[in-house]
Amino acid sequence: MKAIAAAIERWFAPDSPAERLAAVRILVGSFTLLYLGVRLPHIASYLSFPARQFQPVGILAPLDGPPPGAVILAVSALAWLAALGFTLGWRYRLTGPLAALLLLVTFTYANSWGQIFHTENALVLTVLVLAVTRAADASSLDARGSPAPAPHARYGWPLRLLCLVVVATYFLAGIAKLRWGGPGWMGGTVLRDTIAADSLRKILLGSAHSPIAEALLGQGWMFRALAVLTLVVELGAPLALLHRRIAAVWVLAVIGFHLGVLLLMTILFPFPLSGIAFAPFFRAERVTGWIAARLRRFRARRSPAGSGSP
Amino acid sequence: MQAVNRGRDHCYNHAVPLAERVRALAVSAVVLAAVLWPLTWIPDRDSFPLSSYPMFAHNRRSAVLTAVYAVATDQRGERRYVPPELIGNREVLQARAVLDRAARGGKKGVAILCREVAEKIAAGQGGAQMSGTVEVQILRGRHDAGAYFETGLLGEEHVLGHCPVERR
Repeated sequence: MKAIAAAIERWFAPDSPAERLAAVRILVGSFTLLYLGVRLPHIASYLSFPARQFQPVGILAPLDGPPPGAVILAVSALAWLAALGFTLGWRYRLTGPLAALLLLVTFTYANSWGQIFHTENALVLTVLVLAVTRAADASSLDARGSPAPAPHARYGWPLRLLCLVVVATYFLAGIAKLRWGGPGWMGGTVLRDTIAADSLRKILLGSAHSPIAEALLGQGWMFRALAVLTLVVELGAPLALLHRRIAAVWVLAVIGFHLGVLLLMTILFPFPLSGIAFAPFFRAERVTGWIAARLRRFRARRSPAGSGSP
Repeated sequence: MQAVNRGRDHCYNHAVPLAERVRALAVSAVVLAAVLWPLTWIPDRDSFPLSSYPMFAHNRRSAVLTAVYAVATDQRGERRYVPPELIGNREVLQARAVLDRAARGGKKGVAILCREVAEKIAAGQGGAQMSGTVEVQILRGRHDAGAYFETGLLGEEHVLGHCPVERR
């Protein structure tokens, strides 16, 4: 029994370089800064909604009415600033949890008007997990001047936990289809009818629908194949935990799935489509290292000393 | 023997102080329990950031769609579908939520939303697309999406409420 527990613990908390967890922090933080910046007008649009539309969920559920607009604007701005500290690894013990909490409040508010979008769940969960780990022990302002710590299990378990969270979200979506759609969901008709109804709804609501979906609705075999592939990708998600190469195949399949959703339903899931949601599965420090090297070369080329001019 | 030793050295038990190990296990247990908790939820329940991801999961038996939507008509009765930004914001699903809620609110709920949309159009928020419109109607329609994309024909519609666009 002890041996099994030790084996599980070794799998769950492998030695990992501090730079890897830090790279995930930098990638997720950079995405958050960009995404929150782009979404601010959307979040602010709710300030003009009548209070009667407010249907709070999650941590805002106890509220009777929407918080004052000024509070939301301040929380959103602070969330962006805290996310900047999170990304740079500046006073991380404060900015990490603060960024996570403020992002949670900001995005919960934007999902509290009768429609949950499901496009921000994974991002918020990832930031929440990173915020309570030692993700700024390397490649951060906090760690400036300190030697890089040796690979350690304390940098391994957060990455494994993030992989488990990602896998769980897709697995849950697959389970939901089987629970509520039944085995009939695999036949493809449910998926085709769902996409057809979604396209028509978009027309009725004066919005753009996918001409690709419209052109393909007659191809029943294709929707059968897409339905089976969707369930294989979602229910097969735990396989990605077995090996990095399997994870690579699975991640490509998931990105393909999200591209399909974008093309057929014009619904964008930016976090998984960026690939950053899957960074914990891989040697993310290679990506940030590559970006850092390019930036150094770019700076050297621009500086007079590195320009080679007399 | 070497392999065994390597395994022991890499074991979290040996490398990390007990307090840190307990914290790691507690955080992991709480996060995983929270993420998996929606498995116990009933089909219509959803939340944020925890979710059972029910989108596209329901067992739709046909392509028939029942939807509430808004149209603006001009003097000749020609209709234009009111875009999401005049109902809620730019998100089409948000507009759907606002319209459904208004319909659930009965005649009063529909009248309030209708007036709000008409005021936005009167204020010029709909741009050229809404210019010349004189009335807003909130409709509930039941349409076969498959038939619509084949023939372009819509099914039954029922007017839930209507109001004039009063430009000053």
